[in-house]
Amino acid sequence: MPDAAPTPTLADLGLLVAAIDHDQQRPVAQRELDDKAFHAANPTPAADDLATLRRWAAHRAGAHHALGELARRAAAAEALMRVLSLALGLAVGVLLALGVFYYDGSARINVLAVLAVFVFLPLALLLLVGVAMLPMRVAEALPGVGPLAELLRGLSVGRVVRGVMHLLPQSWRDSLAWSRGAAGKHAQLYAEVEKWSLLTASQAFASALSFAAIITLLLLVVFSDLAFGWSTTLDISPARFHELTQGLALPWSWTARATPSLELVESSRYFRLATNEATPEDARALGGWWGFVVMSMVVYGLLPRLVVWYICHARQRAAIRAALLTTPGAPAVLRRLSRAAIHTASPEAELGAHDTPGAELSRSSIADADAVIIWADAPRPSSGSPHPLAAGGSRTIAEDRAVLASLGQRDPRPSVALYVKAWEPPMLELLDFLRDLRQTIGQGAAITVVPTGDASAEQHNAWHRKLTTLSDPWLSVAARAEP
Amino acid sequence: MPQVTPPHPPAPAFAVVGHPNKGKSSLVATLARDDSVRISPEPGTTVKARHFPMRLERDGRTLYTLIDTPGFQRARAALDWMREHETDAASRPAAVARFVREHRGTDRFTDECELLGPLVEGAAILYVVDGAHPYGPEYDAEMEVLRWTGRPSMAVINPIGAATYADSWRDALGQFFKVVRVVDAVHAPFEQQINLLRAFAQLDEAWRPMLEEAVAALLEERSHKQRAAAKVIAELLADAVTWQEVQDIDQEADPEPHKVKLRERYRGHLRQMEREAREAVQELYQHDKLDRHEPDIEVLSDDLFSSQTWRLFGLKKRDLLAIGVAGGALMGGAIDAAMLGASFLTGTAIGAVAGGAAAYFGSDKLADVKLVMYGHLGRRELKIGPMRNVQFPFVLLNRAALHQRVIAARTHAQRDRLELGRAALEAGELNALTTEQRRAFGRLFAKVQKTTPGSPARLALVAELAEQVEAIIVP
Repeated sequence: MPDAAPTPTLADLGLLVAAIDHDQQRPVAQRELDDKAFHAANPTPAADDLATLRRWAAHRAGAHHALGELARRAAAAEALMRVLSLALGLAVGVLLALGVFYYDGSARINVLAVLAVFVFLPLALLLLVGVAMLPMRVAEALPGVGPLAELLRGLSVGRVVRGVMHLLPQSWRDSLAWSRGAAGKHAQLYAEVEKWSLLTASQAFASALSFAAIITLLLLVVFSDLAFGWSTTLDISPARFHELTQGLALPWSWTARATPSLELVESSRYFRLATNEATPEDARALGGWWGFVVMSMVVYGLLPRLVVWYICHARQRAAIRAALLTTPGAPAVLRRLSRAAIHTASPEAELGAHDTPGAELSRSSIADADAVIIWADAPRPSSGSPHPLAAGGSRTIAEDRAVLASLGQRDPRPSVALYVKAWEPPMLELLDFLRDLRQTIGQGAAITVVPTGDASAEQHNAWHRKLTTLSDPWLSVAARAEP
Repeated sequence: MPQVTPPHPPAPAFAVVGHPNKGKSSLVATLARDDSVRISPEPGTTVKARHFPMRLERDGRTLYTLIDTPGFQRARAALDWMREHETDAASRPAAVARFVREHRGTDRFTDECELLGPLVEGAAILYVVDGAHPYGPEYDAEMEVLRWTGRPSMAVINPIGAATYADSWRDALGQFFKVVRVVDAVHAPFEQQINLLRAFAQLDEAWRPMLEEAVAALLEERSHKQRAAAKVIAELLADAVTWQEVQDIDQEADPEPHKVKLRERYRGHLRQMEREAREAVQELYQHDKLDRHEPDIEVLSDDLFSSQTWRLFGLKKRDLLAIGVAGGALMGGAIDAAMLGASFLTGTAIGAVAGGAAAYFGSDKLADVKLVMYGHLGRRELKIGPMRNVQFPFVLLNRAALHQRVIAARTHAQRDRLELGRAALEAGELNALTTEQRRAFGRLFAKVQKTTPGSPARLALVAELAEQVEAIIVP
């Protein structure tokens, strides 16, 4: 499955939080099935953790209708919020431009007012955005800046857009509330996301506003005649004002058309009291300001906004990325998914062994045994019977029977000591032999099993426990010689 | 002539067989990493053959299957029966198959049928013996029965305790088995497990591609786990050095009792973070069934804030000086940068001296509760943390790295407590960071303390930290 769009969005974050919530409420067995389905649908590993998480969340949304529906609505709400920011910006931009460039021929459009609204005010606001963009740690360290940054974030246009969203139908509001709620749940982790989302929305708004104002101006220039002038109560000489415009026009000084000449500056100053009838030539000359005005709006209004918008957008993406990876529960999901790459455990359940314990065995002494059998070449005691019999091990079952037969011929029936390797476990083969031995020598005759050689207490106990299953009252196990 | 291989050749199966109680189940538990395998000193614990397929999640393919079987109980009698029913040497495998067919479901040869069944169906033989005890003639019959099956075979000498008799076993086994290896079924390190898998390939050339693929998958998974564990530890370190506990109190209230409680809550939270990171690491290595409350490693169960812990896991005073100098220089450097170098690096120099001194003299001081006047609706704020103590992240790091190492090395056949020599730790063998590593960590800890959780800057630093941690936990 190809990975989703490379840019993580707010909707991704909301979906991931919801998917983790949903996942944590599922029983473990169900979760394992989910993971299995996920791996089946995604045989190749994702490029990185982020891609894995998004794939996983998308897979969960695909598997669960409610999650999928929520994700779709959140994505749509996010897109709508973007569109609303832009639309609001465009609308305000057009209205503002129509107001500022209002010209009915009675009074000229004051270039100073235009510069104030579309150059100096945006630059001042941009400075405030810069303060709001400061890292919280830095803002808090500078006296007075911390509360200001917080206040500015609070006043963001992004909030207005969110307010507007409240006019939407209930289902949209629900999904918006859901993604906001998801963010609210881990407020500290998502503080950065919140900050950059609001800033991005406000910069989108401001860029759209600038853009709309410029386009409106251009349309007015094309389809109507505009006359610019400059007017101020302050005592500013045309030469000073020319210097100012020259300074502002520095970035586009290569084009003479957008740089007002000293003559134009001198001729376009007006005083409302001195009403002078202008000739069509004068009017054409006064229209010569438009190039300067447009360039000022582009260079000081639009371009810086676009740059800041881009920065905010990039920071928002980085913040969402970080939040996705650090969302509580996400690292655990990642670990779980990577752990399931190989299965080695058995799908079958382990069945238990069941020995029926018999009566307790006595731990008797072996000093008085009439016959000694060495089983499977067990270590031989240095003292004791000089002629021990041998069975088990490399001997055949027929040879074992011959040993039993020789004991059966003795009268009275002998008591028997059977030496076994203490470190080897008691096997059914030996138990068979003990049963046959009992049959041969009859009831009442003592049989003592003697585990010899180097073995742990645990191994001795195993002998003891196993032999009790024979339920033979005349059978005993020799106590372990203390090492 | 080019060899044509079918797209999905059948995966090889290996039946782990032998005498009862010689570590068959331990070997299976280790290789299959399955805690559910019953391992007990009691002979005859395994009563049914149990399959452990090694399966890739990505395509569901099984690369090989291990089969745990019960031990031989009546090998001589079984061999006698087969001898009676054999016509010539070539019919021996058929005689074994007939033996299984005729005795399955009866109670005479239950265990033999369980262990020979998979061999009759085509599994290879992995014969396990105990190298701590001598070879004996009672093994001949079972080895002979195995030979009769005609299946490819290999023997593993499992030194339960000590491999005292490994050589005599090697001689005896050499007559029956093509490949003989010594593998500690309970403690086999990962590399030895991999080597064993590679040895399986010697049994049949056709199995080599699948076993090589299995080895590659396991190695890949191993390094993946190490990376993931390093990340868990890095996240723990970052969270721990920035953790703060805050409490509002009344203007008139006596702050002292609140301070005591807050200090306890703060430390409790840090302990909890450490515990959760350990659980995450245990889960990574599929050891989540280990005792959840405390890792059974004596030195790791010491309290995080005990002086014993700090003595064992902390840095020496002279090492601290270097860390403090590095951290201080970092802060001083920031001042230099802010003044665009106008301070001629005096910030760095002063920072280095101050940092060094602070680390040297303040290495025993833990975070303390501060009372912050807050002037809001007549309330005050008590605040503790973040921990500025230079030692603290190193104590955490060393403990976490040690825990990871023990967990990574633990096999699924180990059912005892985790043991770790305090002596080795005191000798400094277990947390030996190089000077460069100490400096690098010191610098990263200082940087992380300036970040907020969830920020991109924090994420980048945690990634950097994880790389450093990985370098020290990869053996």
